[in-house]
Amino acid sequence: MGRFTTLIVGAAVGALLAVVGVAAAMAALNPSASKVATQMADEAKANGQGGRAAEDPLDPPNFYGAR
Amino acid sequence: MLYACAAAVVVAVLAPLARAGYVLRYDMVFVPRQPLRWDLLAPAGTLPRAVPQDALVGLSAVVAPGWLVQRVVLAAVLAAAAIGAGRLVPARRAPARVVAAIGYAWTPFLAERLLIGQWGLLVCYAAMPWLIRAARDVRLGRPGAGARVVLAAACAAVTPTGGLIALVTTVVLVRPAGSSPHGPAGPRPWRPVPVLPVAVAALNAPWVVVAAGSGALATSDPGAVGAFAARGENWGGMPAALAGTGGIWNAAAVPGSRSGPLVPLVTAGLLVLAGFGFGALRRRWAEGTATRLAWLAGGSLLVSALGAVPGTSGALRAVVDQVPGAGLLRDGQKFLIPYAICLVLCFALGAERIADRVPGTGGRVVLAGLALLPVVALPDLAWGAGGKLRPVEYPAEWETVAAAVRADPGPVVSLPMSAYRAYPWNSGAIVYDPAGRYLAAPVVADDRLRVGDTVLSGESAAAAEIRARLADGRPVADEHVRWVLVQRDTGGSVPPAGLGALTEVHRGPALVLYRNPGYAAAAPDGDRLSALVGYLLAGMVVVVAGWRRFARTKSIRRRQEWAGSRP
Repeated sequence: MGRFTTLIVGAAVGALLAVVGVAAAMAALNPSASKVATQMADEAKANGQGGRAAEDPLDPPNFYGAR
Repeated sequence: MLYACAAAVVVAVLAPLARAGYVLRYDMVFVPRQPLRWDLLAPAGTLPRAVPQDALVGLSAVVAPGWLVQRVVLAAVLAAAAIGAGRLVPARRAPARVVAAIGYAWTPFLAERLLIGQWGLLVCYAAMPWLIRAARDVRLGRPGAGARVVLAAACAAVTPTGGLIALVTTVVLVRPAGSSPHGPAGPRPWRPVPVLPVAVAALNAPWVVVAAGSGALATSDPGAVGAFAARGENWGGMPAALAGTGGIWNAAAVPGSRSGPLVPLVTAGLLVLAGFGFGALRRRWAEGTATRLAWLAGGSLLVSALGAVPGTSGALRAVVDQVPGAGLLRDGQKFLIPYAICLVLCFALGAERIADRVPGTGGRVVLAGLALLPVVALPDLAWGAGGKLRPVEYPAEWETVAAAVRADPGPVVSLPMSAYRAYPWNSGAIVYDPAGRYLAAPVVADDRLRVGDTVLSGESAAAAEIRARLADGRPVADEHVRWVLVQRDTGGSVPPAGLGALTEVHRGPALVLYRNPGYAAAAPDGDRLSALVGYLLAGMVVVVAGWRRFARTKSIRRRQEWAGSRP
């Protein structure tokens, strides 16, 4: 009985960790939404569609951080 | 088992640091030998954000190279966090201690602050379990606990934010004088008030004194509140991110796994389990520390959310704009540390309660699974945060430039105007301009920041003057500037008119160093004596606490030896 319980619990815990782990690994390997948004903003700036702050060469570069 | 677990975490996270070189990322800048310069100890033109951290790194450079100091600090942070949490949790089963150890050393908070390079804040994170343990021992009237509170708080206070967190934690957790947790007849605590809060407050003296004597603007750009507010990392939004100890403002410092669809569900599971464990914490810490810790955790969670909640963000903007020093609150997520430790303690005890209900060896399986859950949910903290913490070597010409400046020290202007750089030899990772720590002379660099399209103003008058000269097409160097360093490999441009009649001393593929023939040495800025007073005060507090701790250990050993020698 004890072994059977351990087996069931082990299978449940293993399945939970597998689901969470696979989802986390996929998210880590795929570009995140924020990364895509940052890339799109960078491309827009490169095409001259950026904000006013991006046009002044004496302003700090835009790589420090993106929300 | 705890030590093995801590060692495994250190190896798993820092394995890439086995390679030679320096990890340079955002605020994490280590150089071969950081000079113990006065302007790093007591910056006169900027706010003391790295006081006394820079002084400690400068001191360490006397005995060890920067690459070694960096590795020791990072490994110590991870190990102390794991061991501290494992020893703090009042668990009955050893595996529950492992749940706490891994849980605290593998949080989104640690990963995000590591990725943004704020190792000084992580020292506070690692010191927090030790501080709470010592504060609880003070409440229980255990001898020598007060000294341990001060020593743990001293570790936390290597940055102003850490010092504040340590002070608030001490004030909240240490019981007022005269009362005993064991009732009127119980042992009297070690004079906890006002000695301990005053001693921990004194540990903040270095940055407080320097800030008071600094010529820099003490208030911050209110736009920084919005820029540095906590942010959502997935469909759960900002509340779920903070509840899971994540939510840093910078999307580039967030591990990719945090955007996963299951993250809010895992966070919800953690919270349920932590709620299940809080009852056990309150029962096992019957003297009241658990309740106080819960209040502290709740307060830290609220402070973290202040800048991101519509009603409170406006008030915070006004405070940051008007109150000197309130800029510390603009990046609120860094105040999550007390919440993180409370969450982990409760989570571990909740896991233990679940395990107690499972018959046979099933309980152990549950604890093993829950110990692994933080790692499985955040796999990209492993291997140097998914390969983002990579050691690199400085190009050789940095040493050439440093030698030239060392031979004829004087203020340096670092161009192009930017506080942070992205070097091709550092794989394009963003890092705070290393010139300020590499060169043996004060360095003026831009102190404005751009977050998205928002440019946040700085507080340095010297940097503003350089910017004005560049904008007007005037030479950047006046009689107060000895050197001008142009970093050609970081993007950006320097108008040729800005270099005026300077003499070129070095030209390499990445760096060009100019000497200003019109330099006239000026009197040093800032009130050095008063700044020294702050350091001396904090140093004295640490020495006295260390002496008390050492004397206590020695006296216990003597007593044991005496007892052992009796027939």
